[in-house]
Amino acid sequence: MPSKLDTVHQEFRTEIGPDFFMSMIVGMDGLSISNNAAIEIEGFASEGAARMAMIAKLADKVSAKLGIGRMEDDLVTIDQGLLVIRNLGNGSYYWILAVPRTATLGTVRMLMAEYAPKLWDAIPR
Amino acid sequence: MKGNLHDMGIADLIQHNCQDRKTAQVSIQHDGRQAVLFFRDGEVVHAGLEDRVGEEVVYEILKWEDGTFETENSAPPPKTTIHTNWSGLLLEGARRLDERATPASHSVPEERASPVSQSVPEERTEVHAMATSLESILKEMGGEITGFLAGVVAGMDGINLASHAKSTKVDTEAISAQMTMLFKLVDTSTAKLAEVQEQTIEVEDNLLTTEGAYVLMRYLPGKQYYVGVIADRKGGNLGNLRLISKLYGDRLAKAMPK
Repeated sequence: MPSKLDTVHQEFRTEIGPDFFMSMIVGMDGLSISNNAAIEIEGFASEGAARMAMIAKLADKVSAKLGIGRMEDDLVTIDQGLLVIRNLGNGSYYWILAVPRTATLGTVRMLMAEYAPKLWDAIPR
Repeated sequence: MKGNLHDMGIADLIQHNCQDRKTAQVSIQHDGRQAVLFFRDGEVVHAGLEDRVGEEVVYEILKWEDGTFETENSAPPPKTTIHTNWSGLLLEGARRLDERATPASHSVPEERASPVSQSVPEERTEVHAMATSLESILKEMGGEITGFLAGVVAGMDGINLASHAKSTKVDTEAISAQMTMLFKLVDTSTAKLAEVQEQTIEVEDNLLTTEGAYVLMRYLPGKQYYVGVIADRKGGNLGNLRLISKLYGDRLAKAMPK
């Protein structure tokens, strides 16, 4: 039986439609606790989670150093797509989303803002 | 190649060797002193003068206006003591020369300062022209970005080539240093991931959204420099920021040294 977190993940994937590569929830320790993917992410699930967590942590520090408030998300544009790293809840978990370049960024950000609290609530504690 | 510093100044020598992406040793004689510069693949990687090495030697010898030089091509550098890119070195050297030349620099003995103020070497004016041109483009860009707070053109060493801020209280040097740290980590992380996936991944830009601001970093062609912009979250518009920074990124790239 899928967990509540996996169910919310699937809801998000259904809503975002074809503009989707993969989504992953990662702890501050850099370990993934849930993922949903439309592509092969075997390598990404372990190494990617850890590296994205490193980026999120540094982005948090940079935001603090520059005095511009807490980090909400970090969007990396690469030739093959968009990678979004978003803080969840109190910042103890990150949400990593990869979508194709053709994705509508405004929609992606809007849906992420809507689903971030739902994913946060679904994380087992 | 041998020559005279009257015919080709130190800044020209550096520019010539770097633009031709040379690996070479240049020995420079001036007033009974000898300095060496080492280039590797178009970057200044080592400089030595008596018992001193590193960037400070470059800044010292940029003051030399007479003497001779000799270039030995393909000479490998014995070590790396300089990590700043060549244009950054020239820019900083020009800034120091300017400081010495200004009347406010009371600590500089007049007999040493006067030759600098009397004849401004052409290469310094070129570097300044480039910085001025980049700054004017940044200023223009700032006028088109809603909520604009600051913009920089910086190298991947975190040093500004040019900057423009809405307020003089904004520390653009600190902004560049922080942006560069983050952008470098993003780049190396994606490169490592590409290795795992046995693919190539090219980073184009990174946009950090915080409670108070948007922070955008976009590579300029060649990926040695990037344009960084901070815009206020309340007054800013994400689409406008991405579009304008892309358009002006192309203009900034054209104004960069080749």
